[in-house]
Amino acid sequence: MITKFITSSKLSKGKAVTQKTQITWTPNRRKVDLSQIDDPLAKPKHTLVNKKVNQLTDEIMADKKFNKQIEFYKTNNITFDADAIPKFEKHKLSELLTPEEVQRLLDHVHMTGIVTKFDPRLLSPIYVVRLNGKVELFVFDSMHTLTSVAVLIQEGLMSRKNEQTGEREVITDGLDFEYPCWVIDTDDESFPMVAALYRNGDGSKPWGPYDYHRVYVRSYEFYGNVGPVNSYELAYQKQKLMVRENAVPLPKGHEDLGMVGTLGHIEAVSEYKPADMPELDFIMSTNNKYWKGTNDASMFGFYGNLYQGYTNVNQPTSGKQFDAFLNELHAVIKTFFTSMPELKSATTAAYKEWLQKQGKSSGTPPYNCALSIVLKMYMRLGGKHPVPSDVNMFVYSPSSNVKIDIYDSLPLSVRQDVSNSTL
Amino acid sequence: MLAIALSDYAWFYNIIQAQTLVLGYGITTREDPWDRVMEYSRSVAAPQQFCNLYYGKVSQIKDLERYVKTQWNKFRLDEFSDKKLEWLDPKWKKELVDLENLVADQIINYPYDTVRKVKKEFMPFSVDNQGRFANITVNPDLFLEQVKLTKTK
Repeated sequence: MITKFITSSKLSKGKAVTQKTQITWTPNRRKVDLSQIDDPLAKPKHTLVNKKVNQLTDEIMADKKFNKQIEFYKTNNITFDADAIPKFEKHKLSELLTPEEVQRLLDHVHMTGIVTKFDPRLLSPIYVVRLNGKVELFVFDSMHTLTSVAVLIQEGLMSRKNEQTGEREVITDGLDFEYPCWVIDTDDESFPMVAALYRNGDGSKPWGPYDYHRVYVRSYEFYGNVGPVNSYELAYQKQKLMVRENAVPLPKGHEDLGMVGTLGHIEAVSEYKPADMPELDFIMSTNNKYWKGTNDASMFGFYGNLYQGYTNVNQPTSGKQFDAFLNELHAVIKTFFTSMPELKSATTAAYKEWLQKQGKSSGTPPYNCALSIVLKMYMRLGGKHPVPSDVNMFVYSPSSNVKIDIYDSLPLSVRQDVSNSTL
Repeated sequence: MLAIALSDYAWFYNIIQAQTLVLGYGITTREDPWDRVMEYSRSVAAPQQFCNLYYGKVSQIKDLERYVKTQWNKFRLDEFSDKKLEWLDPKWKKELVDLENLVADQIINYPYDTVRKVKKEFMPFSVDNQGRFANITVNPDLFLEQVKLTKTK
């Protein structure tokens, strides 16, 4: 923040000295009110509702676009045949054919994953198409489920209760074992492909990173389930950390997303392992200290690289001197870029121009690019605190006496302001 | 305040659409906000006017607009586009004073040190006011004042 304006030159011992503008950090006084955010994970268990079907239909019928589609059907007397709904039937595994024209290649890594975590309670039906009432059933989804069940049956690894004796016995049916199938009857030969596309694409809504986080957090918070390798407990700890630092994670499309105090990048947080928690803590707490609930995705690259730049060489990331350095660093960002999103925009533009000078096409700036630029500015402003080696990066040297520094790709007005300012 | 370099500055405006009374906002980096008010007027074949103008460094004005967009995302109109617009859906009953306070709170507390508000005597800004702020870089204090929080309803 520019604190004084001195444009005149003063004479000092016969020399003309132009005084520079001193920049200092002006704290953000904004208050963050998390109670304004509709945080799904802030709700206690006893307040969560098991919705009835009519509650769901009422909710969706209030959506104008959805309602218009329903009204279109009604206006044009378009109705749907309930007899065409697929039927549940049990079929021998040997009756199921997997058409090459429909299915993807058998994914061996995925198969190993399924078998490693195998739990019969998690099995789904096999999705099949029956053409013109013939015996053959064409699998259009759940090929990996089918394969894993068949292997376990063949290898004698599945058992069931004998209803007559009450004893458990190994299944010896082989591929005659009957498995639940969801059967679509049709005379359309291309339908297996259409159905496969719908099941795996148009008609499915894959879970996003927030959905996983939500389930992990609630599994631990409500039921004490720590999850595989304590992953659910770790997600819970991250949730607490994020809320503490005014970064309530929300799913994509949540109407409060973007408000002060929200975070839309749970996928970035999910990547932090237990050993990385001090780094995540540093990122979240530093970002909140300076930006008070404004949580731009760039914070992970900026503060993460800053943290690693010091810890990798056993230098402190706390203490009076380090705090003073952080204040100076943020004075640079706020004075010349206003905010982290604006720093990100300026970094992207500078990186693009820097690449063009090298005859390269533009790309996404590496995660430490913004940090490197700010550190270069910090040094030019007379910063005295030791800085990470990122400061020396983004310098292209086509020959020994030519150096093209990304700093020179910042707008001229910014560079002029830097040369007229001091810390 | 000293004279300021024009190219580094931009406008943040509030608008109440004359025919529908729907409240909106936006920014323009053009020297004369008249160009922008004319665009609003031409598209509906009727004169429009800005009820508030804020002037400041481009990066701060852009950040201010980003703040309003995200903080009030749920209140934005999504009727006529796949994306939410910079118009506020009347069903939320947000009034100009609410928007003024949201903006003022951010300018004062963030703070955006270069952003100031055009004085009342120069507002509203309409299609008849081309060139009104031609001298703003020479004498910004004539046109601009510090932003203050106003009393809510």
